[in-house]
Amino acid sequence: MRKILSVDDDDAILRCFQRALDGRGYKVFVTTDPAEVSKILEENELDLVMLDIHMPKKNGFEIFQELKRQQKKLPVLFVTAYPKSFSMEDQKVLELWQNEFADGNTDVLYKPFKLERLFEKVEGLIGPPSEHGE
Amino acid sequence: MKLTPAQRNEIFRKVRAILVRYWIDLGFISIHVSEQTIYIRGSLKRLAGVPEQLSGAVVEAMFAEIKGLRGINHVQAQFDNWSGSVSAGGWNPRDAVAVSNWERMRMASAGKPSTFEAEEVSDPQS
Repeated sequence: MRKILSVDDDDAILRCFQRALDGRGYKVFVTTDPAEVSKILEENELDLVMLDIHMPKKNGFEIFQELKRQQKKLPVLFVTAYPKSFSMEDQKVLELWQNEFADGNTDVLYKPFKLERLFEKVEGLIGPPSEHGE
Repeated sequence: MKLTPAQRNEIFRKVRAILVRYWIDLGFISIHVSEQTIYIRGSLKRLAGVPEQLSGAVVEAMFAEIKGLRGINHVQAQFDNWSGSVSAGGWNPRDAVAVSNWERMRMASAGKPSTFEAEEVSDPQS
């Protein structure tokens, strides 16, 4: 079974993701605390990390960089309500886009969205819930 | 030939990589892979802050790369803000289509009430 970690400061959003993706057949871990990400990553063989961007304790882009230092090819789905988070006028975003997004292992989902769109993005990154499923 | 899940994932990854190289905002795009056909839908926009606007020639070049991916026979694309086709090209932003239609009608219907023109511009697909 494919495993997903979702990181968001909004507990209600996390519950929604967990319910939806669990129902789809994925194993979903959630946390509102960015400090827990490394621990969860070490203890579980994750297939995908879903990241909010604007969080009070740590920015999603910082978590992304830390994740990529640990697992270069780990697929990441950014989920944000702010399309302008990905502005090329932000030097850090520009560098991430050119260096880390270029391998195609990262995708973006803007809130609000329909669940079908979430499933489509997740399956586009890691495939169906089980190894042999379609 | 039916693609394995691993082959499908690889195609998804390569399509995203191409879109990223062209500075396309992935958040407005949805991608499907079925058999050996890629379907790309949504709004075709560059990321905020990218200085060069997307042009028809650039969109065509981008689809030429996607069409060239191994394991793919067909690419279908449909966008709410661009018209054109992967096979025939002719990519134009929908605003430009609306304006050119509007201009055409203006010339053809000189002297007719302007409300007719406004209705046509609001629905460039009609």
